[in-house]
Amino acid sequence: MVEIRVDRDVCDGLGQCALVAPEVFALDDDERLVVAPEVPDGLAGKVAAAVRACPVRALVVEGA
Amino acid sequence: MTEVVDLAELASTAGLEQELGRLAKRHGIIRTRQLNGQETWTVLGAALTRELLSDPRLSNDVHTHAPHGALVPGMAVMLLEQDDPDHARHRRLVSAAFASRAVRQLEPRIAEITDQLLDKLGDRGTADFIEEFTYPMPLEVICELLGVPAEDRDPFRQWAMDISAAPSLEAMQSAAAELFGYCIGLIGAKRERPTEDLLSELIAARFEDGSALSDEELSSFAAVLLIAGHDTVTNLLANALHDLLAHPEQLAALRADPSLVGAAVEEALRFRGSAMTTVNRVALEDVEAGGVVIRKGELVRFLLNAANRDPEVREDPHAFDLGRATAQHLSFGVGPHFCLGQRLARQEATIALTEILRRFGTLELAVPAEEVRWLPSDAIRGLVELPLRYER
Ligand code: HEM
Repeated sequence: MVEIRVDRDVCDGLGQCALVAPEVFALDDDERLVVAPEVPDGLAGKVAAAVRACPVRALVVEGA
Repeated sequence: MTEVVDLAELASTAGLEQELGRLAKRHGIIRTRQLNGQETWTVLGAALTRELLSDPRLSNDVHTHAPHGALVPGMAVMLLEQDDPDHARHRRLVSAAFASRAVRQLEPRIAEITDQLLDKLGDRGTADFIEEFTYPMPLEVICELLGVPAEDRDPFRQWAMDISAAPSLEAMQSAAAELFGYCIGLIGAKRERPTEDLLSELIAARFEDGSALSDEELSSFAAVLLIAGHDTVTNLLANALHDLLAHPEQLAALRADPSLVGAAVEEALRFRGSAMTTVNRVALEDVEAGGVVIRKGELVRFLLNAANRDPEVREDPHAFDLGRATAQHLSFGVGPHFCLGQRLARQEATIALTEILRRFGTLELAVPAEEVRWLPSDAIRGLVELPLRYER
């Protein structure tokens, strides 16, 4: 089970993760990051790429 | 695939983007010649751009891994020439100043600067809008934000021109050296006598471990902000005006419904973004991409204006259309180096376009369309001048 943690103090709402893995990440109208409660099967690779795309490294993945 | 494209030569024509779209359709990645004569891989395709701009096998730290590909040889540039974890650490330290809230607070001041410059145009009837408006507006904004005294601002335009559209590598390097020299002096002055501005804040800022930015980091950051923070906006605004005027039905739609201004800014960015190419990356190992092998040590850059016209991801890519469901353009880059100043840039462009159109019921090119000249640059996309006829 992949678990994603967001460092809210650091996240700047730039949406780069949502570009890479829109199945899992999205920004709401206030540019706040919303993460899907469960990561669909087979998306671990995309999630890892999303983590790398973050300019401030606000995402941490556990159990991948 | 052996064809080498000379971008600077292509860039002096209005049809550059059409040509890039055609190329992007055939090749995801090509070879191009840079200003200094060296060849690099250049990524054109949108899918490949998204994929490779977040690929850690391509390093921004050309300073360490390929000094000949560095933006300014001899001095590593903060953020743009850093890789993680250093990059993220530095970016965290500066990101609050460019977050939504901070940028919203600048709005009244940007509007004021916009008003003052447009007031100066008076009733003359014609003016070069770059000289009179799109150049001074963002320069004043970024100088105020950083704390650059008004009397120091004269040489900036030449430095910016020489750094992004230099006639030669020597001109580019000497302008960069002068700019860095100026920034080092400015940092020294602010260290002694802090003022209320971003530079003084950054001098006082501390990382989580209590350490501070070095003088070299501070001055390289100041230099990047001073150039990346105005030249890009100058050219984007001029491109936007030019392209709106070239598409009268789109301009009419915007005049009829000023709430379309956000869509206009985004379509202007997509249609003819001003930061045409990214800085160089260097391959840390062999990377297979788009049917070629980028060898370890080779340079790669990304031609965002090609990716934005890639027919693979964009219906009718050469149409300028405010109504397009704005599939994300790539004009601010992608991934870890995604533009730090994009909110500020968007806000400046929105305020400026709104006010220009509100004031001038008549706005048209003051020269025949084919006489408009484009900068012969392979990095920045913009006009040499934008003579407009205007009337209230
Ligand atoms: C329309 C205006 C602008 C455009 C088109 C633009 C475009 C870009 C692009 C494409 C990149 C990524 C370059 C790469 O990956 O090699 C970038 C990065 C950057 N931009 Fe902008 N920019 C604009 C305005 C601004 C403004 C107003 C500022 C600052 C006040 C700014 C500061 C920066 C900085 C510091 C970076 C480096 C970020 C990093 O490496 O983490 N830009 N910009």
